[in-house]
Amino acid sequence: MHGKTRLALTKGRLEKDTVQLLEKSGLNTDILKNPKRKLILDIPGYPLEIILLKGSDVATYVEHGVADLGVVGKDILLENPKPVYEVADLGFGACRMAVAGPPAAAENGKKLLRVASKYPWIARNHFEAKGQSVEIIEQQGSVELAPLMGLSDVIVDIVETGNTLKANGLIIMEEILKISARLIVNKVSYKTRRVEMNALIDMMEKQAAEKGDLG
Amino acid sequence: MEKRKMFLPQGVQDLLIDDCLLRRKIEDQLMETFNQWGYMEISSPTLEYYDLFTEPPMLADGDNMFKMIDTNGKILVMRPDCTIPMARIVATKMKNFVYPLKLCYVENVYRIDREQSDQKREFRQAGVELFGVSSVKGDAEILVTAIESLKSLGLENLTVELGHMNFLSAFFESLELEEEAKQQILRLLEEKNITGIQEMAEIHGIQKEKARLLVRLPRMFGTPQEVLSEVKTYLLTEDMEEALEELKQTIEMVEEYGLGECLGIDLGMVSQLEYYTGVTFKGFTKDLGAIILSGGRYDKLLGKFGMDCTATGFAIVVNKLTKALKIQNNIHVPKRKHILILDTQYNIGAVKDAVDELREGGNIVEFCMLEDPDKIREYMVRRQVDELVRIKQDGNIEKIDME
Repeated sequence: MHGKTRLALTKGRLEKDTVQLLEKSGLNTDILKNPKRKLILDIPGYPLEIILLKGSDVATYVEHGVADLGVVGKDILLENPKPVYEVADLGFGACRMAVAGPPAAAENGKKLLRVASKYPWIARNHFEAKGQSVEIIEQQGSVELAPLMGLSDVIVDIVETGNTLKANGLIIMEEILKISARLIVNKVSYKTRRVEMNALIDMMEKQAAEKGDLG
Repeated sequence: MEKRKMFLPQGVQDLLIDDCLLRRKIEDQLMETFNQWGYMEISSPTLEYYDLFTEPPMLADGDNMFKMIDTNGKILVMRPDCTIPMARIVATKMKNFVYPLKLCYVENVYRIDREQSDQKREFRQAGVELFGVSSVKGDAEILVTAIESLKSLGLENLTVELGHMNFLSAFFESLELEEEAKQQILRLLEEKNITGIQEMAEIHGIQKEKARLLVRLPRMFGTPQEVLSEVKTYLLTEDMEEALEELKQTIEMVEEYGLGECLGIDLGMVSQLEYYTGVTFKGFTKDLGAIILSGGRYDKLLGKFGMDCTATGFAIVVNKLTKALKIQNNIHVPKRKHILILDTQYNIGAVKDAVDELREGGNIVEFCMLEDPDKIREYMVRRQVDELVRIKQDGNIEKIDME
């Protein structure tokens, strides 16, 4: 078992936000800003080490207890649920999961709707709950292209500003849910490292709340 | 299609030599401890009717089971749980035994359950069930048996955390929520999702004092003393007090026995199995991020089979236990002395006595099937053979040096 508490961050935007949050909490984050190809990053003066991973891997590492905590988008947790504790909503990385399509699609009631998405599970769940039969067309990127090319009727995707949709003549037809970064923890680690982890969770939550109030 | 004959379906695995040795050692030791505590082994079939597991208050989710259609059209499942079949056996076949009835098992279970098995869909459980003891004596007995079983294998840093179903259900009753909201909040509690619980408390207008406890529940875990003294500062109903008293008494009995140091409490513990009714518990070690042990009281289950009988029990996830013991480097199967008989000189009927003599004390003794000295040498190295011998004409055994 690793000695220091280990926090896994989602590379990219969530990483930047988390590093900022840790810095505001008074941690020395120099090494995070310049990792120099190192994969395990030790925070000087605080019993914490950081690893950087892709979002879905963050959840997997935490599930197996290789990392004790993780910062990951709610979209990832919903698409691939894992048995972890989801202890805090950090507020940043805020966006919406939405159904979007060409304006005409909104009027056409269809027996079988073709839905393109990077989130097949979320998409299927959403439409099934409404009693709409769907054919899910799984995509890896550029989901907006699918309805333009006639591959699908609508898409289910993350929307931040809505600019990409607008530029392609698509409109938001329905909001499914709000997404933001979540702090997840391993079920056993949380019990065996309670004091350290609660201190870290409280610290991150407090900073996130303050940031939320300002923003 | 061509590939399929080479590979395994998802979630199952072959066990090679060392894995099998280890598994046998671990399961034998567990069974030995169960037997020493007075539990008797029984075994249920792998195939059962689907209905057995899906009618409430059983495992609700039929999606997580492997189903088969019987020749007459009935739906069968591969045993997704051991406790329900045990309850069925007791209620239908063992009513007239002397009680309390103590039973145990080691079986494969088949289901999709991430908490106990990650990706595995076939895994082994070793467990005990105690029928006919309604008092906390039964809960303490089961806990002590579970802890002793794990300790007998040398598992270190064990923590067993207790919760109480009645504490939670009494609290939720006092919240007067609709069933759907209740289930939603229970799910959030299971995730220890404080933000989500806060939101739900606001949406459903839960009274301030009760909301304070609800929001705190996800963090109400730790040593028994800490948790029991903290929870007292909240407004509790009589039923909640009663559940806490039961927890306290159970813990005191385990402490008196001398195993109190590994106990904890998690009042926010939500059990995925719907049949639990009283004290529940989960066991783990800091060296492995997974649940190794789970169990609890299920007083209503036998009623489903027409028998009024209280029950409590636990199951150890053998795969997880094995993994933890390996990580702690605490499990070793002692190597037996391995003897290879190179050849026997002509003597009708005398070989058996010599072989029997060599096997004394549990040695492995086998006849050499190889001719080429190089191949014999390689075999000896790779199979870790300790001695090469010849049985002579007079029946005596001669050691041979292969060098």
